[in-house]
Amino acid sequence: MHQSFFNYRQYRYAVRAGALAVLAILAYVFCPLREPKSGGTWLGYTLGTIGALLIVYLAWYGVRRRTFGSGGSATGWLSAHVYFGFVLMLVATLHCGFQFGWNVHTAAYVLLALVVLSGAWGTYAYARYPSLIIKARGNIGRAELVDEIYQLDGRALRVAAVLPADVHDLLADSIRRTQVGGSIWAMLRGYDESTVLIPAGGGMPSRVVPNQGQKALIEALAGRIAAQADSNEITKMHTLLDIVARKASLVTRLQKDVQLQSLIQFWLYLHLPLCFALLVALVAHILAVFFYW
Amino acid sequence: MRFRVLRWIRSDTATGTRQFREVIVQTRRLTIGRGSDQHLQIADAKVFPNHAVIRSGRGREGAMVIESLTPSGVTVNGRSRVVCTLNPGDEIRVGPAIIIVEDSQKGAPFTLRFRMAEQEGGRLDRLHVLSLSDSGLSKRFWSLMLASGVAAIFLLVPMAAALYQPLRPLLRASAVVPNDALWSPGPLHAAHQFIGSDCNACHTSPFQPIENVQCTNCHTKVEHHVPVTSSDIGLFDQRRCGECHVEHAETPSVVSRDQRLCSDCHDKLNELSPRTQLLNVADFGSDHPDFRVSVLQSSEGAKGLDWTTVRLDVLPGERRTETSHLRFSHTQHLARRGIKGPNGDEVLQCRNCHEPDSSGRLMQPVQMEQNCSRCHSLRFDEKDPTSIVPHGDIEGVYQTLLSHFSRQFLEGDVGSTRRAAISVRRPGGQPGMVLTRDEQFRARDWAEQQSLMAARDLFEKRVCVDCHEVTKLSGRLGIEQWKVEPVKLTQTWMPRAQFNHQAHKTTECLTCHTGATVSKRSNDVLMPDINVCRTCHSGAEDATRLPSDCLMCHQFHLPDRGLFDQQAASESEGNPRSGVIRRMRALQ
Repeated sequence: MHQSFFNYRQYRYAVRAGALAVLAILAYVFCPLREPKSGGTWLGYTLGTIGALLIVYLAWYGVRRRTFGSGGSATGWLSAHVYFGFVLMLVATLHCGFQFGWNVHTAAYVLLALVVLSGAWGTYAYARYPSLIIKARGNIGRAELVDEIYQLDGRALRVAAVLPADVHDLLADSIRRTQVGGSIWAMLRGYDESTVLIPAGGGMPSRVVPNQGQKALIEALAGRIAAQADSNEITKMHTLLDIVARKASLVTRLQKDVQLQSLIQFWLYLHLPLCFALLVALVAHILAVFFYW
Repeated sequence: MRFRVLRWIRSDTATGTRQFREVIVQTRRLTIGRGSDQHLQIADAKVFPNHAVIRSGRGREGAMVIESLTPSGVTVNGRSRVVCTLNPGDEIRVGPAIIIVEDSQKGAPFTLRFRMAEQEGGRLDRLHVLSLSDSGLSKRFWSLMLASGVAAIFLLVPMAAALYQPLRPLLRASAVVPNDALWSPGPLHAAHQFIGSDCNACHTSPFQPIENVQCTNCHTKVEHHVPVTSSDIGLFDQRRCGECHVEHAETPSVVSRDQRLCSDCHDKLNELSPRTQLLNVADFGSDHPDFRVSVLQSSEGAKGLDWTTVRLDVLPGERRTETSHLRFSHTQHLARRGIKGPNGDEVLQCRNCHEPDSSGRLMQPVQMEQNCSRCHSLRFDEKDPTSIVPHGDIEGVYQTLLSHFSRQFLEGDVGSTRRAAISVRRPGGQPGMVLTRDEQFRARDWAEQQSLMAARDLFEKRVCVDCHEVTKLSGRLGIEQWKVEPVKLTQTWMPRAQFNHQAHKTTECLTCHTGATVSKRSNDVLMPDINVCRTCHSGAEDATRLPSDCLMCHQFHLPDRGLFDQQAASESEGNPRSGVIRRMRALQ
C-alpha cells in the first residue's frame, strides 16, 4: 500500500496523537479541580504548557521543510504535523475550559482555530486535488498547454491575415480579451471571464459580450461563413473555426488547471501568515497571564 | 464628450500600410486598464484593472488630462506622471500599450491612436496571471502584517498602558483603543466593577501574584477563622485571599464554594488541632456529625444561678434536654381539639407564640408579656379585673397584694364575718375618722394575712405554678418562703450555623420541629437533627437533592477572631495607595 502522510508507518502519529487526545479528555473530565475549569487552574497550566509546546513543535515543521535531510523523513514530519495539529485544537479548548471573552486569550484561541482550519483545508486539498489536476491537464504540462494556445493564436492570426479586416479584427480582439486567471478570486473560482467585442451590424451597436469557451467568437465566425460567397475564403474560415475550437478546449483545460493549482496552494497563503500571527499572540497570551498574575 | 480611438489592427500584407479600426466612445472619462469593463483594455499583468482615465481638465489642469489611478503612474513622453495635461503628439505608455494623442479639430472628437508595443499573440503566461505567486499575494507580506498587527494590538499597546503611567488615561479612556483590559481573562465580580479598567488598582507589581495587602487596602476589617491568639493560627500561615476568592472567572463569583477548601483541614481536624472541640467533617451528605445543639444550663452560683452555654452530644438512645426552669407542654398548647383561651376554646398555631424577627431569619425570644399573657392572666381575685400581680418580681407581687387588701379593708369592702371578728368601725361611713393605733395594727395584720393567703394560692395552686418551678423554703416567713426558679430560654441553638427561617417559610414548622406535637415537657429539645435536614439537603456533589456545600450554613470569616492578615492590614494603613482607592470609591 502506498505510504502517505495519512497512514505513515501504520498510523504511528495518528495513534500517538489519539493517545494524547484521550489523556487530555480524561484529565479534563476526572481531575479534582476546586475552581471552575479555566486556564488558571493547575490543569489549565498543564494543558496550556502542552499546547504551547505543541505549537512550537508544529511551527518547527515549517523550518524542517526548508532543511533537507535532517531529522527523520519528510512524510513522517508531515504526518505528525497533521495529526498533532488537530489534537492541538482539542488541547487548547480543554486548556481554556470553554471560557471565551474579548481578550488576548480568546484572540490566540481564534487564531489557533483559523490556523488549524486552514491546515485542515490543506489536508483536504492534498488529498483531493492532485488526482484532479492530473485529470484536468491530460498528459500535457502547464508550460506546454500555454505554449500550444500561444501557437494556436499565432496560427489563427496568420490565417485571418488574408481574410477580411473585420474577421481579423474580431479574432484579434477575442485573443486580447481571452481571460485566463487574473485576480485571486478569478483563479480560485475558475470562471471563464473572456469577452469579445462584436462590431456594430444588423441594427445592433458594437458591444462586448461574454466569450465563455470562445462560444461568442465561434458563433460570430459561423455567421460570417454563412454570409461568405468566396469558396476559398469559406475554406479558410473553416480552418480558422477549427483552430478556435481547439483553442477553446485548451483554454478551458488551462483554466481548470489554474483553478486547481491555486486551490491547492491557497490554504498555505492563509496558514502561514495566521501561524505567524498565532506565534505572536501566544507570546502575548503567556506574557499577559503572568504580567498580571 | 466624444473620444475617437484609432486602434492598430495589422499592416496590410500587400502594401505594408497600417490598418486601424475607429471606435467612437461617448463618455466623460475614457478608462484605461486591464479590466474587461475598460474602454481601452490592456491585457497585461503589470496593468491594474483600472489603471488610468483621460478626462477634461479642471481648473488650471489644461483642456485634457490623463490621470493615473494607481501609485505607479503612467508614462507620458518618457516621464512618469500622476496627472498630466495632454497635448497633440504626446506619447502615453501604459504597460505594453502605446497611446498617441492626435491633433484634433475644435468640436471634433478627442482622437487617440492606440497600439500595443508587442503586437497581439503575446504568450498567455506573460499576459495573464496564472498562479497565486504572481498575483501579488505574498505569504511573507501578510505574515509580517498579521504578526505585527497582533503584536501591536495585543502586546505592545497594552504593555505600554501597563508600564507607562502617563499613557494610561489616554489608552484606557475608550473601549475601542487597545489597552491592558485585553489581557483580562474574564469579567470582574459585580462588587469590583467600580474598579473599571484600572488593572493596577490590584495588580501593582508585574509578574507577582496578588498579595493580601491589595485586598486589605479596601477590606480593612476581615476577621480570621480562628482566634488570632490561638496556636491554630499556624495552620493559616502564608494563606492568600486569592486562594478562595478567585477573580476574573468566567462566571463571576468572588467566593470559591468548593468544599474541599474547608475539608482539607476539617476532615482531619483532630490531627491538625488535637485540642479542638470540633468533630471532623468532610461532606454534609455523607460525613457530617449530628447537630450538637447549644443550650443554656444553670448552676448555683454565688449570686443566684449562673448560666452557661453547653453543647449537647448526640448519644444513641439518650434524650437531649435543656433546663430553662419553665414548665411548658407543647402538646397541650398545640392540641387539635383546642385549648381554653380568654374567649373560649381556640386552636393554637406555632406562630401564635413564635414570631420571626424583622429579618425573618430567626425567631424572637418568647416573652410572657407578649406571647403568654393573653391567656395566662395574673389576676388573683376572680371578681376584680384590676387585681393583677406583676410578672417576674416576687416582692412586687407581695406589695401589690398588700396594697390591694389594705385598700379593701379601708373601703370596708370586707365580708361580714371578718368584720365582726376584727370588730372595726366602718371607716367609709365616717369620713375624716382616723384609725386608732390599735386598729391600724389590726388592719395591717388582716391585710398581710389575706395577702399571704392569696400568695399561697398564686405560688402553690394556680397562676405562677402553672409555668414556673416554685419551691417552698423551710424556715422562711412571709413572702420569702417561696422561691421561683429564674427562667432563661435558649435563643441560639446552633450558633455556628446560619439557619434562615425566611428561606424555609414554605415548609410547615412541624416538618422540621417534629417533636412539638408530642412534647409534654419544656426541657425537650425540639431542634431537628441532621437527618431532618438531609431529607432535602444533600452533600455538595449529590444532585439527587439540593447540593449543599459548607458555605450554605457556615462562614469562614468569623466574628471576634481578630484580623485575617494583621501584617497586610497594617501595611495598608501605611500605604498611600489605599487612600487613593478609598478616595476613588468616595467619588463614585
